[in-house]
Amino acid sequence: MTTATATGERRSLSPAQGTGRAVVAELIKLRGTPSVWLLAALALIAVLLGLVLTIVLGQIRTVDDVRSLLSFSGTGGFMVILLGLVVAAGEYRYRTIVPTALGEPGRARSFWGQILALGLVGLLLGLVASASATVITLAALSVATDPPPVAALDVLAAVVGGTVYTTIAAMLGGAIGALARNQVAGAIAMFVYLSMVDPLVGMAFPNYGQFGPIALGIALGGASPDPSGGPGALLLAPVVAGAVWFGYAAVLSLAAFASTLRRELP
Amino acid sequence: MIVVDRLRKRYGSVQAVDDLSFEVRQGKVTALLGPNGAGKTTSLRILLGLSRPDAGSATFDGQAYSRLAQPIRQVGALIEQSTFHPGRTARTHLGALARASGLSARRAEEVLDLVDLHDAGERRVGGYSTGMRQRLGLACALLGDPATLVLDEPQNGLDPQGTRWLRAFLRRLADEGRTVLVSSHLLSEMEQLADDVVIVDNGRVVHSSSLTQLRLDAGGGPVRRLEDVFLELTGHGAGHDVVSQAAS
Repeated sequence: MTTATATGERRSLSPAQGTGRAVVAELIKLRGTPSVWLLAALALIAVLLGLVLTIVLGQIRTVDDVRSLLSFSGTGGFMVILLGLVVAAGEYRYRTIVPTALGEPGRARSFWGQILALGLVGLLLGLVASASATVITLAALSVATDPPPVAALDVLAAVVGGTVYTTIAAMLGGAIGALARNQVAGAIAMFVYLSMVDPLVGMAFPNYGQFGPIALGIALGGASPDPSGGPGALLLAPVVAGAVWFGYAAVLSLAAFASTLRRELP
Repeated sequence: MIVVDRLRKRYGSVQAVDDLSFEVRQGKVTALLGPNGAGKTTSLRILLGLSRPDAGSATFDGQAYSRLAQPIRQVGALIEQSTFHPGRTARTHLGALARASGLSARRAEEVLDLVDLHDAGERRVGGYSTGMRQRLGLACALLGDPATLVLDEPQNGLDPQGTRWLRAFLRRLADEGRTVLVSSHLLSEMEQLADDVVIVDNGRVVHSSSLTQLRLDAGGGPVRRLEDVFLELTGHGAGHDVVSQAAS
């Protein structure tokens, strides 16, 4: 056997170049990880199943009904958060963080590289989910009797909003995973928050509801407030909802980054 | 050249590394030996920037690992066996590491060939044997064709053929002028491979010299078994103080 020679340039990289490399490396890892494909598929199934059931069981009478259907792409958001969480915490579970750190000792590049790569996965999923929701909604309208009109702006708002929501959801999940460093603990914490804490706080403080993850997803998708109550009863403007959602992801990402710098690798 | 200088590291009440100092020469295979819990892996983790020392420094040609401009190309490391996602293939692992380091995908194929894993490159690592994982770890270490290798228990899980191959391979790397630091429990193997030995116990260096010098210091001539000397030095064999007295 012979010792082959590594090829490639030998020079110092700018932070942007270094992070770019880290992003591409993370994308290679994500593409080669079966659980990522599984969770992505589940996220899309959640969107499509929910949408089809709503169409089959309900009626499309008003413009608000159409907006509600178009905004369905956000319903896969929690599965996308879980995807990010599983990926980031998995680095510690399988200790793949060690070769990552050996290849890129600068923790900033590898951390933000992973968050950005997850964002790209979320972006792709959001586009697919939004496009699917749009196609299915338009198909349902085409066979409906006396369908309400569809505004191109509503479609655009739903696609953009749904994609932004899913993109940020993946990054948020990555931040939670990096903070928790444990897939099971992180998933349980997320489940408890969504199923217990968020609804209880929403009941105690009705105005809080519009800042909850579910309401933010509905608002970003461009849906109208739901007069029958629930998490969509009070909604922020889409741009404000996007800013709040991004704010959550930014705060958690910064906390996770600080934790990554401070704590030793397993 | 690797220089470890007055390294200290404490985990809770345990002083894992205590004022540890040694050097690893270029063009030599240096064996880092010690009983379980002696501080070998902790020292290597600090050397590779995976743990922070409480005091002291560990450098490669005067630079800490975290300061190396092209770490994978300068230092190849195998620090532990299970650092692979079981659902990913060897090609995915190597491809991601190569991309992060600015190396070509072709180089990943070359190292897969080098460790005889080319045909298993598309299999998920979860289905690999211990020896195959060890070979993949070696492939990662060799990816950047580095001038320095730091290997923690590289023979673990290798069959006799693999062990022989690794011995010849590391020997050749050292003969090419590379610096090779190997931590191992396999004293008979190190006896055949190492030029220099660093023996640690309780976080401290108890002996550091060439293997030949160690045998001479220990008495009994150049054919004295490394295992006997090691056990004496680490307080687990008869005549514990012999070498210390001879060395001083």
